[in-house]
Amino acid sequence: MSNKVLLLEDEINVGSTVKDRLLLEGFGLDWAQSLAQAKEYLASSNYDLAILDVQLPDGSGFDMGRFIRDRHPTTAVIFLTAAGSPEDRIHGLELGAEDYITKPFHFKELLLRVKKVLERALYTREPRNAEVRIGKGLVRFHQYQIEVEGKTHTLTHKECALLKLLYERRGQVVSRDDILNIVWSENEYPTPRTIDNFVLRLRKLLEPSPDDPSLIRSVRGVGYTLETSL
Amino acid sequence: MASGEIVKKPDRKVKWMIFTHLFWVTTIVVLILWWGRLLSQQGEEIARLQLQLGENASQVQSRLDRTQMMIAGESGTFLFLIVLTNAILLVLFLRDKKRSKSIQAFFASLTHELRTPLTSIRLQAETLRDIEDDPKHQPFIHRLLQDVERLEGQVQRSLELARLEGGGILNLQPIPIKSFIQKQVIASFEGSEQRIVIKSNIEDAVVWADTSALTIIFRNMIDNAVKYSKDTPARVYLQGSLPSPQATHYELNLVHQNSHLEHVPADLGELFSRGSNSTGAGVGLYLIKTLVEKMRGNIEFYTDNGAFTHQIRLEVDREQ
Repeated sequence: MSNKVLLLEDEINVGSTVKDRLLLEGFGLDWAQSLAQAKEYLASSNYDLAILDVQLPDGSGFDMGRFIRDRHPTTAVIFLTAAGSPEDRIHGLELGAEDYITKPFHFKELLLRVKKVLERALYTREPRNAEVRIGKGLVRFHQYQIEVEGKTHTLTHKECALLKLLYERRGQVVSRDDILNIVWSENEYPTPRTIDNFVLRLRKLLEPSPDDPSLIRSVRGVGYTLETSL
Repeated sequence: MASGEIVKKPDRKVKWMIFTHLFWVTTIVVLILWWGRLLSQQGEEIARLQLQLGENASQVQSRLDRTQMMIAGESGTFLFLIVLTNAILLVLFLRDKKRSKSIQAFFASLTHELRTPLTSIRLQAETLRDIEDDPKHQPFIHRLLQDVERLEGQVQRSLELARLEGGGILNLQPIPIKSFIQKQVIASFEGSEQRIVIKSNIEDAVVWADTSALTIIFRNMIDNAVKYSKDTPARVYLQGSLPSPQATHYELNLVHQNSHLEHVPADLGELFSRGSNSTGAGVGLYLIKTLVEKMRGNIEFYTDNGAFTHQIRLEVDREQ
């Protein structure tokens, strides 16, 4: 089954070309030209990815990003916008976007990044409907959720992909290079400290005692390991 | 996302300016009131001494009243002028701030208005390139794409300059420089060997930088190499290393051989200063210099036997 993409772009020439080319690449795609139209599409279909412009006639694409994060956490988000200042990029990524692409862009670059985000989403969600217990949490990868002591927490796509990677290789040391290749995009430059921050959040949710982690252990200079005794 | 560090917060600067200004005004007003009171007391003291010396009481009182009125009038005028001057300054400051906000809003809208059609032209040209089977048409499409790229570069330079001059910020974060150069610089020129050949020897380190700023810096330096090279393709050598294991700054050299730029003008890197009389707007190197300095680094230019070097130093993140 092809991946389903929602494109939110109000500029006719840009929107129609991106739509035609993504359809030629084999993606299923709906094209909305306003926030209201995008919400209608989201209400009637599930999307693997939303590509969002920011400056729209009836509001900001950032609001749509927030809406998707809250209501449709399984849909990954890429912002595709002329707003390229550091403040805008930070804002977009803080909203949980998987990627932030500024116009003008190369179509091949967009395609590459779309594929990378979808590969990661597919990797994280399969097998569907599976629940696994890790530490204090009951993890539903396909829903990007962890249930801890009766409370449900939503994970970002990157947090979920990182946890899935550690879970699949439990008992083994997962190197930082593997984490970077699988969890992060080509154009991102996370440092060891960035990965540590993601691990910290996972520890807070899963470890019985986050200050003295026994579940996700750091292996100095190499990477991380998830203990087999879950 | 990576933990970032925002450089320059205009709002904090404005608050600090207003605080300093209010402190200055309050100090001046308190001093005027204090001096006024002091002078008034001095006048009363003099009148008391004059009475003790046996002068006419009504004349003493009259002189004292005139002195007191003069002190009150002059202090009041001085106070009024101080308050008026500050009110005028405040109005001018607020008007200037409003105008600056309007200019920023104008550039934000201009950014959108320029980038959107450029995106569309690029998309249509790339689509033509990808679907056109007739090889005779490809050179035209290739030239169209080259000119779109030139225009994109010029637009990006102008808008970034306007953004920075308007108090725009950078998001400094630790960047693994070797990986960045390989992915964002060298990879982006693959397939352009007829125009430029890049060789590199980059030692790895983590530096404090803004990814967009770094991309603009490299793109500008390489555009310069192509523009000012006597060779086709232009030959560029990128070399990066830590001068010593304890060095606080990473040193990056971009050298292009056989350059038209045979000497470095003293003002190179200043706004509108051009290395050559015939080409360029004098914005590129100024933008590079401004961005490097905002990333707490520095840049120098020099020539040697026809080779032109941009030498950039960027702060190393020692915590990684």
